[in-house]
Amino acid sequence: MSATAMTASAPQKNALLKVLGPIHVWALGVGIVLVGEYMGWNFSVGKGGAYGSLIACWIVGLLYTCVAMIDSEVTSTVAAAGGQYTQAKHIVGPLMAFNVGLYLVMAYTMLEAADALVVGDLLKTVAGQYGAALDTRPFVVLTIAVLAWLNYRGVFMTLTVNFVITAFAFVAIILLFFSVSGVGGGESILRHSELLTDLPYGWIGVLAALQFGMWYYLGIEGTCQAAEEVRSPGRSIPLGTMGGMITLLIAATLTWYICAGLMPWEYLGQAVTPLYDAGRLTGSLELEVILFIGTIFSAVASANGCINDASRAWFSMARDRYMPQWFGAVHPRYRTPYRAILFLIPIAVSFAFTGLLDQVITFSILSGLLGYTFMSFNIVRFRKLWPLGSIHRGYVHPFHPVPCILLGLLCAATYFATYLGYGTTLLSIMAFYILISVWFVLRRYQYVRRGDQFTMPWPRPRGY
Amino acid sequence: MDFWTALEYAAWIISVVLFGWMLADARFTSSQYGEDFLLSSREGEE
Amino acid sequence: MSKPYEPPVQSAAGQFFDTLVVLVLVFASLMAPLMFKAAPAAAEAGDKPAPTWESLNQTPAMVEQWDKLGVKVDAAAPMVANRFDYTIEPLSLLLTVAVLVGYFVFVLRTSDREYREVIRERFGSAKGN
Repeated sequence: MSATAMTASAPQKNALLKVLGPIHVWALGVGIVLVGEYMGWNFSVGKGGAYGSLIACWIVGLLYTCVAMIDSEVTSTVAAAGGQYTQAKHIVGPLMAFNVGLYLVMAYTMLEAADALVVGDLLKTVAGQYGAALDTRPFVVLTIAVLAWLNYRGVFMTLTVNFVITAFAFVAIILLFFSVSGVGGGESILRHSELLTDLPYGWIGVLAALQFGMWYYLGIEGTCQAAEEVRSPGRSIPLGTMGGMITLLIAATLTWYICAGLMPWEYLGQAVTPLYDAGRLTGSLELEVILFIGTIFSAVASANGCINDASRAWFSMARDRYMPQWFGAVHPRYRTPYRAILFLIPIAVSFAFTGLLDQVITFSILSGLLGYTFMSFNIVRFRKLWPLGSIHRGYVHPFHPVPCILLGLLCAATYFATYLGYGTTLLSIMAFYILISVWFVLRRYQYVRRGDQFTMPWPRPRGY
Repeated sequence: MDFWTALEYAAWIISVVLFGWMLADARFTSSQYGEDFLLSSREGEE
Repeated sequence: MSKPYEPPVQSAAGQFFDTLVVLVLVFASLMAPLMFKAAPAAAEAGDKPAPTWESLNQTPAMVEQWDKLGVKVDAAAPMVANRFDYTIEPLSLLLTVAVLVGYFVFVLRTSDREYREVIRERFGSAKGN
């Protein structure tokens, strides 16, 4: 298939390859997120207690359902590798688009760094059990190098691999659930009634838990970045995204149910690998090994998806010269944005080696959150500038404007949670986005062709 | 040299080889194709 | 009708320099909070009685799970004692809100100005304008 596509369009034009189907979209979205179920979500237990975490899980689940619905509608219409960046460019304007593009690059590259660190730390734990002190750095670099290489060589293989390892990690959670709950036969070893406590901090703890409650789903919106490489984006993107969201709601609830029934909340709130710990508590060696592999696979799948998305966003910005145009090249054989992929490797490695994991993760979450805030008013403008019926939409989300109002409110609550946990870091990150915006207006925008930015075959927006 | 140390070296070497391969391939690609062609991808085109 | 805006061509050195600016800003903002971080509070006076599961308010069921996890009471004590501080300082909260709102207002207003230019160039001047 790729050979015919290449000979057909090779002569003068070079472009990304349209080879992906819905399962790849699913693998990209869920692959990035699922690591959050294996680790990270449980910090919300520390912030607000086990029940606080469950409430956060569902409230944030609502936030992301809104994100998925809104995103599916806009992306089914704006099918470009930039995803939300391209949406912003067409619907809100250049400076917003520049910011959104940076949210994507930063959120994904920093998450990728954190994922690679996880792989290194897990291997170190294994070596530790054999009495060896392993240096994690070569394995962090190796993880990023192998995945970047995979990404460099083509998107089809990259996301097919992601599908396999993500599916494994998901099935591992299901297996664990059947085993510990007694649903699959045998005794239940869960002890919810004895382990669950009242909200340790009251309701403000629940609010604070929202920040890490985002781990349950952070990154599902990354499905948009595949839009330019999907065979029929109008169908595959909504299908893959909504399917992914359902997968995650199931995985998140099961994960909470398993872990809250096995561990005291003070332990769970600070555990590094809660699902693996749950596997250990079953006393079954098979489950322990499966959950260990699941943890590694989920981290690798996440890093893999992040490389894919960050490079697409960086590439798209370069194509419009928001960033130096040199990065806007497509590999003539592999049909990937190879320079963007290559450039982001050392960046991700250096994020991993700063030793500032807290800051890096907060930067990643906050960039995601800024992006969701953008989505809430983006859809309002989208419906206003091009009312239903004026352009072809692959998918129209129901109940407008309820989802976007809900999304805006939940974003505000999550900013507040971030303020409670990482106030200084929040201000420092905002300083970055403000400074870089000023830099864009004063310096960078002069290199951008004005009219060429609008690439969709739409009529003139209403009111402009 | 024990097993784990060997593994560390192997990880470094494979990383360097992969990164080196990508760099070499990128340079080779730039020498084989014109810059205009490499940058010819446009958003929104089928 | 005005001619479309023709941007200057950027040299390789200029492209390299611009990339560098972005990277410097990212790393600076990652490092900045370190400068404001207060020194860790001095360790509390050491003469505390050794913790027991009862003093940590752990039920028998919880103790059993701690045991299975392989965490001894001495290791569990700091985990249980670790509490977050959710005091809200009105001034810093106000500052945060102002920064966020100011940022979005600035971005949206500038975007709108630029967007009008994009639309004008793409679709021609609007009638009556």
